Amino acid sequence: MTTPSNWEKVRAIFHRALDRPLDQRAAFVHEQAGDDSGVRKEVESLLAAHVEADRFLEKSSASLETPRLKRGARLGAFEIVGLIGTGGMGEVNRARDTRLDRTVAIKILSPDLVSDPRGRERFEREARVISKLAHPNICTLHDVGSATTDGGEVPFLVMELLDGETLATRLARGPLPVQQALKYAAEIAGALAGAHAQGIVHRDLKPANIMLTKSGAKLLDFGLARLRAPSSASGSPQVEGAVDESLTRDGLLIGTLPYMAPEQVRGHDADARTDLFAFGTILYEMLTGARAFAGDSQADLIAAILGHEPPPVTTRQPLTPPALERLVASCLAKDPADRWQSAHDVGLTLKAISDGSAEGTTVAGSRWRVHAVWATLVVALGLGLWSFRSDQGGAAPPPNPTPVIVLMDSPLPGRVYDSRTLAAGGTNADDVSDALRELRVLTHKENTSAIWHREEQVRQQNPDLVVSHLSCLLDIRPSNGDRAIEDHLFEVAQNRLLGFLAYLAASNPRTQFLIYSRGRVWPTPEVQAAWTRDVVARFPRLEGRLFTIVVPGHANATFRDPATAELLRTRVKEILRLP
Amino acid sequence: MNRAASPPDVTGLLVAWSNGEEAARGRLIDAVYSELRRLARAHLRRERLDHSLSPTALVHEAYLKLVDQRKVHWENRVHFFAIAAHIMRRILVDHARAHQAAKRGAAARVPLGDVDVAAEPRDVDLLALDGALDRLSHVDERQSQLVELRFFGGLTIAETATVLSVSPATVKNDWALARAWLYRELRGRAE
Repeated sequence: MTTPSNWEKVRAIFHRALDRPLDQRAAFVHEQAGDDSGVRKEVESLLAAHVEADRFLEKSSASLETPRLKRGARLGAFEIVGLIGTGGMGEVNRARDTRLDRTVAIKILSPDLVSDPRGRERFEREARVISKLAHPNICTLHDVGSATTDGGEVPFLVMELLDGETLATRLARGPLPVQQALKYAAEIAGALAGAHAQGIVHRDLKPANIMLTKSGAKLLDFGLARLRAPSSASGSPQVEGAVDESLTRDGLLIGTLPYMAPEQVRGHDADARTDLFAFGTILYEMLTGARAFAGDSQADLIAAILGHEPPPVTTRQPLTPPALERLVASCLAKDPADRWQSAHDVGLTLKAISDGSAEGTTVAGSRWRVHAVWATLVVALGLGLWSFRSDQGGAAPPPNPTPVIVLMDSPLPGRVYDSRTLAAGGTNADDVSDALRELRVLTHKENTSAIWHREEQVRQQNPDLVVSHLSCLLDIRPSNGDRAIEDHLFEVAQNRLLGFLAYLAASNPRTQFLIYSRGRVWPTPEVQAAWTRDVVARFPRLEGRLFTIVVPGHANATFRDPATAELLRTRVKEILRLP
Repeated sequence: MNRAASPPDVTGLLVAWSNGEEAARGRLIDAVYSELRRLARAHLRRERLDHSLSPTALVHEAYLKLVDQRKVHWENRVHFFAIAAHIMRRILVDHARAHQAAKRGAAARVPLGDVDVAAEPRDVDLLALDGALDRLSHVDERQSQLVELRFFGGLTIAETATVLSVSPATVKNDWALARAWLYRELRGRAE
């Protein structure tokens, strides 16, 4: 409970936590509140309420300004017939276009969207782009306009009027038959492919934005999430930047949490692959009737999106063709680089699955052949995994009595790195394997194996220890020595790595993890210990299984140095309890 | 248009109040209240779209009509918007109280004098919000005032920052905090 005495502290920590991505707030609050558990709990509770509150009071305030259109009211050539419903973006009315004598849907938007010239220009520009989308599975935007009211200019969209129910309404009654789910999924993928080809990303794809009509699935609100994003500033340009940033970072306001991709949760830019993640969650839900990612609290949900794999589709819907299950899993890859890269390909594959030839080689086109190869590979790896699991379950001895050390880092010469990576660059995989040559070492190099492939290998090998460089999943790009950018990149890398480790920890219950890094990240033993504590607080599965080691010496020190190599050997033996 | 014989000198009252004349406050509230009612009536007469009024628009328009902006400092603006937002809160809450029997969640029409103002009761129980705001004011008076300005006064982040004389970033964060606090408070009581 808040008391006036600790309120200022609560307020200060809350403010600063808001500037951090969702997945980093817990650790930040923990660090800031220190021993004051009262303050920590209060801030955590308020942050949770903040996430849940979503548009609470904002929406009311905005809709106080939104006119209620009554039957017979005129908006230019459009005559309001009645209210259809209220959505996230505003009210939707049935209306008659008196010029063309047809019935349309009119969505009234918040006046905030056009409250300043910049907003208006943006609104019109975005609307023009959206109106160019002509696809049988996308709800057509006919026109945009605005009406003058007491609240100022009120913008509205004129759209195709659709008859049917939303997928959300349909899903409330349970899963869809596989064939029907396949049909809708192919239509949705086709719609996404059409929009992506024009550079338009949906960003808020969810069952409530999909109408099921007699003529098939229709996507609603294409591109509107982006249009909405900067609008809430509703103020002068100088605030807009700040609010923009927080909206993007907050993520929640762009997109809907259960269907949001990890990169959106982290506040990064959305692209076509972000839509494919949402598509995967929707297909999962259509097939199983259950959400791919769920949690008792927003924090659990975020953790699930970032670090957990949903149970395979077949465990919930045994009739799912294996190829379809793999397609869903691939859409749900945490890293966009590991997902299907194009909706077009997804659509083709769905069609093939639907035709019953998913496993076959009859489909023409080189692109498909590539996919068939991948599919085979997935099957092979899947078998490996299955056998590993049965080993685990039975009384048989573990398949790898010898400890296997898996390395997942290797900055190589000839590529461009930022200075932080360069500093770490000396500690490459080969040096580590040399240092540990008495043990059986399996080396993975970041730039030569796809992440999911490596994951499968790790799971197959069932190692005792995973040794990893803290920035090993860093998406490498030059930063011109800009410290802020470097820090940001490092944080991105760190989060990707930790999510990955948590995932491995869940799938390999006995594997332990050794993270090595430079003194700059852990300048003191206290910071090093605090880091471990924070990570374990976020990923409880790592409890007792996460170890760290600081690479001593100057910025370019490597494990090639005998003393450093010895340090690593000692630490590894300690962890593995080897003589 | 039937204007009162001598329009109240709101600017003068604002200046007087900010100079410490507490008596000016009551007369200020009376003046702003009657102007808000008058404006609402005039609006309905000339509107083209058949829609309800926006309390926010009323507050802004009342300000433009009542206050001679050449003569007031930003402190006067603070006082005006704080009072107008407070009055809108009272008007809306009083109505909600009078119609407590009405089903919660049903669309309500709030009479402002003899005209209707659209209220937004759909997801906010105004009476509960009013009570929660009072409790919030015990924790942090400024947070409660911010909610009045934003929610009842309809001020933007930038405007609120100006009247409260803090940075927009602070308003933005405080607004998030106040909304979270109230949300938790209302949810807690509803359960």
